[in-house]
Amino acid sequence: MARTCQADDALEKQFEALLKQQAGPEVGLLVGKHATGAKALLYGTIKTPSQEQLEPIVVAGGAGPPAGGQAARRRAGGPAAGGGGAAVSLEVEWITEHARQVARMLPGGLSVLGLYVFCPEAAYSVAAPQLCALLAGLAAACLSPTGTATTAAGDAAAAAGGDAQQQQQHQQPYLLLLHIDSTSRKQALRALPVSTSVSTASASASVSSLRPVELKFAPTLGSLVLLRCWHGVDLALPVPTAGAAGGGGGGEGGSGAQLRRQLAALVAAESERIRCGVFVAAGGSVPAESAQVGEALSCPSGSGSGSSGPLHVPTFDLTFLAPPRCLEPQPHTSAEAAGAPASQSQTQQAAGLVAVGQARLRGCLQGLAFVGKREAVGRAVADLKADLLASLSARLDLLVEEAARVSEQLQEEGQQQEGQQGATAAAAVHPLLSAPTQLGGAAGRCGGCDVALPRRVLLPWLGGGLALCDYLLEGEPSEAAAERARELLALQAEKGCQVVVEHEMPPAAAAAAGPWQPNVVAGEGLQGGGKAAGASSAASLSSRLSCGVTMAASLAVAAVASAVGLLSLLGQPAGQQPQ
Amino acid sequence: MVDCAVRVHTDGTVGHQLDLKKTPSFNEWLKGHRILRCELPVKLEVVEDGSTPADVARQVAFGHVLRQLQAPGLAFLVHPGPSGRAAPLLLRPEADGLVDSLPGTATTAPTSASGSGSGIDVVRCSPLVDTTQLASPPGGLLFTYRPLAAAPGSGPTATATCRSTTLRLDALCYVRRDCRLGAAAGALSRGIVRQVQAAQRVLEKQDGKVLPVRAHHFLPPGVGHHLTVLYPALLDDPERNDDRLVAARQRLHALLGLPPNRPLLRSANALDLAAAAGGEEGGGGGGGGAVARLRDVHVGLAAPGIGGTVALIQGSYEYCHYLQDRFNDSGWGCAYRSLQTICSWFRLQKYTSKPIPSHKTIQQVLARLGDKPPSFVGSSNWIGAIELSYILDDYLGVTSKFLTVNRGADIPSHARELAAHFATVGSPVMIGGGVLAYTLLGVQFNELTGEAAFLILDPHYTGGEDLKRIQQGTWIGWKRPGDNAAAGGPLFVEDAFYNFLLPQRPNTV
Repeated sequence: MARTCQADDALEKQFEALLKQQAGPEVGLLVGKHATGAKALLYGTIKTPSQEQLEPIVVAGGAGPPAGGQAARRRAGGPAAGGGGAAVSLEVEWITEHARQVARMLPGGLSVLGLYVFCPEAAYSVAAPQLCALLAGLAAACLSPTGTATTAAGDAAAAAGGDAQQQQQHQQPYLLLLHIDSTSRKQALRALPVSTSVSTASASASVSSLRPVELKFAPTLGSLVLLRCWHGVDLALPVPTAGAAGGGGGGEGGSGAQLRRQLAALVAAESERIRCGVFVAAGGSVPAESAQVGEALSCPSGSGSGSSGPLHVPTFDLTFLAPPRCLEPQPHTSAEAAGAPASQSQTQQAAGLVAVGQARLRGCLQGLAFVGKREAVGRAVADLKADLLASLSARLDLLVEEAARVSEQLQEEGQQQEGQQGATAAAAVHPLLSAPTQLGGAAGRCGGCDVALPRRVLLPWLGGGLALCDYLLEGEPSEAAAERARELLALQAEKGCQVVVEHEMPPAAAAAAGPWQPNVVAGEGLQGGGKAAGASSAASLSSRLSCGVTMAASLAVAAVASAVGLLSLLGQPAGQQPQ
Repeated sequence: MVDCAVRVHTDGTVGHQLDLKKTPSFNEWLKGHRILRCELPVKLEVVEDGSTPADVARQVAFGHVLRQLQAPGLAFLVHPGPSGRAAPLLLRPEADGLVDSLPGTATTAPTSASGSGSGIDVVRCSPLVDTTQLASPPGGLLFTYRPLAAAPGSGPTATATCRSTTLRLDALCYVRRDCRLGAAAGALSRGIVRQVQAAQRVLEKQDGKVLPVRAHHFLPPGVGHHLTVLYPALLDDPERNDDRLVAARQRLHALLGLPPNRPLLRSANALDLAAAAGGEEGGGGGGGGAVARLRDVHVGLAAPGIGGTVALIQGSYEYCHYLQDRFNDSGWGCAYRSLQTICSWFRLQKYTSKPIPSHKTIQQVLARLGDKPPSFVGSSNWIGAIELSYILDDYLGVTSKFLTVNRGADIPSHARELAAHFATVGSPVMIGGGVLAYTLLGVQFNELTGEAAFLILDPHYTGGEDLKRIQQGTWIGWKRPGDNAAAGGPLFVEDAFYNFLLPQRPNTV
């Protein structure tokens, strides 16, 4: 059975315009959804932008058409053209990195389907092997394990509906390659079977394995709806002494990065809970997996109420139910998971774990998924669940990346200042990368740290018919997301439209300050007792970095929820900077 | 038998008379009900920080668990049965509808000795909470680290000991089919909370140790409903753990009026509510035979018409005979097989979960005890009633009584003693002595005429596991003095010497 790809008809006009302009060669991402069966839905494209004046694709010499000529000549030293053919140079690393970043910015239900290239035929035939290798390299980022699991779950749900055989033929994941010929105006779409395992990724990719895919244009975006849910998290784990932390499996910093591992453990535990969760429709019932989204989840809450703002898509708010926190997650696979670890933990229990403190993750995140009206509910809620999981791990990744960056920067500064005041240099690391003992501090012993996880914002796309996402780090203003949207996604503010939609807000209130008292039952009065300190909406990165001992934490001022506060923690009152 | 009943109010006044209806049977009654079952692997984390007493720390830990399970709006997801295609249903406190509408499976409880019946309709539920109750939107995620509060007089760094364990709770709840779903959810919640509190009481008796606790369901004979008992895991090995818990079981037996020498509440007695029909208990004996042994082959045989009383074996056994387990012992293994039948009875009465010993195991035990030389292992030598008593003692810890009869012709005069054994102990009896070995499963004795008949299970059978053939060939059958054995020849040789081995029940529960 031939594969088909249904592209939104707006794309037809977009490609026409591209051909009419005959601008320089272009490469970019295809964004859409792998539908059930052999079908893919293409919603939009995101052009890979130039990075530091470096174009992602440059076509040099070769056949005379004006297309790309000027752009190519701007750069000297392109690869030499083969006799009469074109020479193409692709910024493979940048294209891959861009795809990775965009994949992280996609809400549930959307994925990077592949690449498009706009260039002359001659250039395409030269570049095709390179493009195939590039696609194979993208597989890991674009067809994430959670993504494929989603598809599998959705397929299983669809299979329950009857067409099981059809599903099985398409187990092999694939990415698409669309060539828009700038000379002949032909559009050719091909599929490349890829493997998500990194080791075999590039080995199998070759031009010969490309298969043609039928491309047709039809209204597609209009059938989308947005599923939304809030998920509240409140998990705590005891923090073991550095020695008991299992020898620091990461090898990086030993006990130093212990809090990062604690956060990772919390995220892993929460992910397990999310996997066991269930979505409930507005009416209070669990929708049947095989029903269609549009029918099962009646009465969209979005379009009328205006809560979706600049998004023009019917919105369904679901309630997410998860097992109580005190329950151990049910093992997925019956025998082996139940047997071995249980006995192991029993021996651990006998010894007990020596803890020096408590790590806690608390707050809300929003799950989002764009799904088709006629999709099966089973697949749709699997997309939404996958989005919660992906979003949670994306936040963790971003925060860890940021922590590493901040620490590096601090260390550099520390070295510069070492002549004057060498004392502070030692402590100059991000709290996530430090050991609990460093935070406990000989100074006050009631230290600790508060670190807000990145919060997700929405970037309306394609006239509000879809949205992409971005994450704002603690203290980052929404303009930062708008800026990145312009740079990475080429999103322009449409008139009268918000560029950035914020649903998630900074953490409402920090956990009660003061040390962990495991056997003191907190009274209600202690809730929200965190004293809001120096508030300023301009809590900038630089001021945060200048906090000598890095106890950066944001506290929302109780009254002004949107204001981002800066609090140096109790152990370090002197660290509070005038802002 | 009660003829009438009245309602008594709390102030002592007598209200109207109640209309009593007799319940036909537990299974009959259960048809009007459904059983909601909620399995909960609860993680309990006790933090001892040195400043609070251990029992307070434990109370706090249970408090955390209880607060989560008592949270308003706790809902239960009802799992559709394997065949059910229906959407999963949510059992909420405010839910409408009747319990009858719940999806579920009519799981068949394993046919155990207690005759728990079949067709119990169990609805599996698992608890869920609306996660926005934990943290309300739209506040984002915050990671916090708080060092432990220093205990007075402790070192520079405060440390606490976290002991965590799993309470494998499992609540059952009978609800009438015409009960509202909301009320059913409430009943299940209360059942869970009660069980958490029960688990707390179990752990309070463990000298401050934080042990795993597991819930087991039982349906002992004579008890009109399921019993759920929580046992702590003192030892990893379930059999040894059961041995350690004997005092607790004895108290329960006394409390419930259960016999003091019948194991009914061991973890091996527990019902497996999830098991599909035909779940073989205990993994089918130790022999590893491809074909399952027949059980209770005497059922359906008519007692001979001599009048008087019949005393039979109590409980199930497996018929062990020649050539089973692809092992050729024809001509010498009859006593071994009789021993295996006796062991199967002890297994099925839950006194042990040890496998039925093979011929080699039996010979090894005798060699180890010094009763036989090492060369005995692997031989085809006969054993007798005395050897059997050694093995029962060593392998199962079972003591035996002997009844010695000097002449086969005198056996009927001991029928009264043998009948008394079946009436009180009820274990299978091995007939040994000078000749072939048999297993005795019952006695009929007429006091007036002095006539007696014996229910003989013959281990010399070499055929397949075919009940009809076994019964027709009188490999199991009532025999009267003078009757021939199934293989031919007189059953009791007139002037031969006989030893009856009467295994006793261990005085345990």
